[in-house]
Amino acid sequence: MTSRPQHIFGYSDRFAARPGEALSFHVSCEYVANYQASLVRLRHGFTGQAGPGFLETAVPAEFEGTYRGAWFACQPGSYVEVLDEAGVLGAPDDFLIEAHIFPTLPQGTRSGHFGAYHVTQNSFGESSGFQAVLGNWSEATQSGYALVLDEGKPTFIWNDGVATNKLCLDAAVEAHQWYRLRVRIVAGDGKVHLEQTPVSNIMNRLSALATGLTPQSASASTSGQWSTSEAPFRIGALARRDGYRWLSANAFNGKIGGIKIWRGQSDPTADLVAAWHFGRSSRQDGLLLGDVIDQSANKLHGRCYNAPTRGVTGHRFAGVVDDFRLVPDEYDAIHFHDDDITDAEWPAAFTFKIPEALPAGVYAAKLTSEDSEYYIPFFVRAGEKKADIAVLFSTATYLAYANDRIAFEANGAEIIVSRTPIIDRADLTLQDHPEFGRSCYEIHNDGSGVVFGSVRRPILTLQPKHRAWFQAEGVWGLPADLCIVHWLEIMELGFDPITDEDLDREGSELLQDYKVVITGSHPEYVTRNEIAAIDQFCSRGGRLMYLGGNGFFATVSFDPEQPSLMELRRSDAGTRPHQSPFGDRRHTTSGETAGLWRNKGLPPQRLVGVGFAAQGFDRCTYYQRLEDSHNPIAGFVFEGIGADEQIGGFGIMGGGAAGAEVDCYQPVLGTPPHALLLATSGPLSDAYLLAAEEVYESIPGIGGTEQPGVRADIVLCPLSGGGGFFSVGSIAYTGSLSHNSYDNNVARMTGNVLRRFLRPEPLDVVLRDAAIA
Amino acid sequence: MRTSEHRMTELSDVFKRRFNARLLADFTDDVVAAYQNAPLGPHDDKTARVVRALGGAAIADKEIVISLGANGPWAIGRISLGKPGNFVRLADTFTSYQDALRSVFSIRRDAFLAPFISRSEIHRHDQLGNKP
Repeated sequence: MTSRPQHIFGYSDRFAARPGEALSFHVSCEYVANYQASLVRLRHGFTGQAGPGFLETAVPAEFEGTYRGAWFACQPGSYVEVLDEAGVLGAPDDFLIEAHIFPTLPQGTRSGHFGAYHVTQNSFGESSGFQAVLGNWSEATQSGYALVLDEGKPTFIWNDGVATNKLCLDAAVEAHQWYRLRVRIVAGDGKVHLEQTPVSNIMNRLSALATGLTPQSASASTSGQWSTSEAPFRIGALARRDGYRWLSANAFNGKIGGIKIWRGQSDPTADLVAAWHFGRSSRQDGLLLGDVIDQSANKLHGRCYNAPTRGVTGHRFAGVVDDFRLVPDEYDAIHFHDDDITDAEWPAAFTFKIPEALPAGVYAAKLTSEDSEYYIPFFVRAGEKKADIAVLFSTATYLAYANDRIAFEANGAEIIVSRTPIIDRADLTLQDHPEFGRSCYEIHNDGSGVVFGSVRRPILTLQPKHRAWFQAEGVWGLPADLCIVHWLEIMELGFDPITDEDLDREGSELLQDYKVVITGSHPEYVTRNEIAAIDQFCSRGGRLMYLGGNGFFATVSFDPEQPSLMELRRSDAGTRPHQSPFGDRRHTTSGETAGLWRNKGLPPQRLVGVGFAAQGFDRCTYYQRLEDSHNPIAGFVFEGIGADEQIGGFGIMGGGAAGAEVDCYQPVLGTPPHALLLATSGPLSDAYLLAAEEVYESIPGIGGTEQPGVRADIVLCPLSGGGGFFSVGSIAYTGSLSHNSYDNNVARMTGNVLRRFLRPEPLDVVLRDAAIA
Repeated sequence: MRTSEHRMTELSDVFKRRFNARLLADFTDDVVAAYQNAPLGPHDDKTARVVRALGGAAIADKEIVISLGANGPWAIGRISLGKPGNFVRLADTFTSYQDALRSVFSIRRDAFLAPFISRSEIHRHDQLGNKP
């Protein structure tokens, strides 16, 4: 036994699989010689005494057993790797290399206040002072060549077979300015020339008049010999050998584009070696995914790793058209980050082919050693036989929040939750592992916002026992949605899990056999396809139970070629933790503009009757019944509940069912006119502030005690065709279900609705048998 | 040579002086008592303002609460980059997180008031604040 802390980490290749399909599990261990792997069904997450506690059930599985613990590096840093089987780029003999760069952290570490939470420090530590633009330089073997920034100074490094050489310009480049870099290797006179030329562009931070930047150049002699590197040619990073893998090294922070390489100096157009165009797509739909095109005859195409940000403005951006598909030449750039990590690329420790007989549900590969434990949650989808109920797990939102580190970096973390954050020991483990990357609420090392989330890295916030620092150690994400899972178990009702990726890909057909779809507690991020699928489901007689808050709020999309990768850019309006620069606000995986669905013609109020109104994290409250709750059509909802009874003045989340992030009834944004307004929240404090998208100009007095729009409303809406929805408009709601061993009015009301929704009679038909409850 | 950074620092210093003067004026005994009575609020406007002012301080070396078990206890630590977990835990533990919050408030109050009032005055505030 060792005194060093044991840790097991892992991830699966995707979140969900059907019977007959296989999932792979990727595991890395720290100071763990052996670990046991087993299959468990996850039943309830929250570990505290306020609920039923953590509940899991062991399930026999083929992969169950003891495995040797091995450590694997998880190396952030995005890049493009060029497939150069013929070795065309192996040595830069007689090359003219041209690249345009827009460095965002050429030296030092970020400083300033970033984003909504005032991020002022970087828990990841220093970024590299040696950042690669392109090349195949191997630091370990001192071979190859590369164009780099060395402490911000444009530098060409190479080995001429005798020694390592560096040609470095005198001055460092400025951040957020475009430059053209050129390297000429002249075989005839044995010289290397390096030059830097500032490029005028609308997206430069400073105007051309203000910069005072001037071109620079330098030259050096070379023998004309080249030591060959085994390392692959990359753009945006170099490579370092780790076993059989070439990991990212010396990753760049900023944009690179407009790269061309010629051979021969007398007539540069005669021998174009490579001409990568980062704005051009190989796809019919023009989406910019993983493939990178080389327009030269050599077809030295590339592939993106760790999801650098594409669809960003290049050095020719004119500032008029902001769709990369329409003006690809203006989008010939990729933004690389040294902390991008979307695939740890650990080898598979084991795979699991989902048995036909395994019931649909939420499961996890449970990995344990003497002093450590780790769960890799996943969803087993329905086989041919489907349940009546589907639960839509908010996997896009899980990915958005994945590995959230805000409490350690932002001055405003405490302000937004109205109290000193309460962290968990797992948060400290996460701090010790910056390599697992950031959430989409955070700021990259270079100050830009994080816009990708991925399944294929350890996600500590996805642990079923995890507690979020937002709300008095409350549940958030998967642990909150497990409150629904256990409530259904108590109700003795089976369900089929659906993920956001599934619904996005399969659309309304996926829902057509279900009577009821239940959402998670916080389905904040959804795709256009998902909204359309739910809309169709309800219009065809389906019933939706929206048991959350701040749902169907903002745009995400999944990479159609790699669904484990989710994109979440931020627009310049409404509630947002940061925002993408002008021109960079279009998703490259879908072509969608970023932003809130209400600003794109699809407000959640239209879909589910309520929409985001406010957030606050001090305390939650109860609901009070309103006049519509006494309408006979809504009678089934309140079976067994008193006419004046307050509902949900209890719960895991801040002591009430209404709170955290709340939604309100809003006809002006599309709540159907005949929707019944059943209940509204009790008093919410001034820690609850009106959502930014409702604050058109800055005004005082936007707290809960002064603004009538700060509230959570419960709505029931029968629709023509027999379908309809029931919406509670509160993230805290699911945390109240288990109170008093499920003997409470939140569980009763929710059960009433579910039982009625499972019955075939249209929702506006008042049943006389009163046999619902 | 004077840079943009110098100018921003100058502006920040001007604001801080004004901010702290207002905070000092607001930091009255009744505010301390209100917070210690109900750390999670709701608070009157003046107390809420003081709590926000302390809570919005720079994140470096800021106090944070950590839970040590499923139902407590809780402890306080400081966010400290470079330390294990980027965190340095202080010695005390608390049986409720409200008590931990009270202690954080007391620490910050003492740190803020130290340049302005005497040691005996701080002790008086501690008594008032029912420091755990």
